[in-house]
Amino acid sequence: MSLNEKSALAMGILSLLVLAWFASMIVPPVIAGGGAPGPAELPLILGSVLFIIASIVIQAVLRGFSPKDAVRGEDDRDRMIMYKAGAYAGSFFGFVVVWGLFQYATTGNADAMFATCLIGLLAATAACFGLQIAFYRIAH
Amino acid sequence: MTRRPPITNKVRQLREAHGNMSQSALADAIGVTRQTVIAIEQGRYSPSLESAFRISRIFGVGVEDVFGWEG
Repeated sequence: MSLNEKSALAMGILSLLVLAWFASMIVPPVIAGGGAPGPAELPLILGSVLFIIASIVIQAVLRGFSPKDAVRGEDDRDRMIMYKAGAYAGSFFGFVVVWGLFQYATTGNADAMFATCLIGLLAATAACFGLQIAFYRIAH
Repeated sequence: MTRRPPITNKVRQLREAHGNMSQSALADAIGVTRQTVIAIEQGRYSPSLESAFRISRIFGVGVEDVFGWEG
């Protein structure tokens, strides 16, 4: 497994954990019929900061264990896979944003739009890393 | 199922003909990961033109001696 594959795996797991954390704050009130809760600044800031710190630590540790790969950087196959996965995940996120805007246009509920876009962004991030692993393993 | 690119290659044979050069050594020589060399040998990935030229230079042959088109 190359450094980029390991990185995609670790970042994918981290993204899923953050997604699950945010979803646990948003989904239960929706299921209970109370609608999407409004943006809570503290968990959002805390989650974002923790995500960034964890990402830096993960990358530093992985590169520490594979110094040769870290110096070489990405090759053209890595770049092609990242571009392709990013394109699919970006398209997914685009659809989610349009869906969120449609929700807002029809219901006027800005909280629902925000929750939809946030979950969509995190899901797209996790999907991007998941697709990278799939492309490394199955195709290319 | 992913369609394989219609490009064949003799990287494995050339590697073996050149003192059983390891995939890792070839990867280092052309500046890619070992996994990329494996993917090229298995026909799952067609390298960039730059990598193709680098591979052919390593083996001292022309690009068309390494890669073929079966389309």
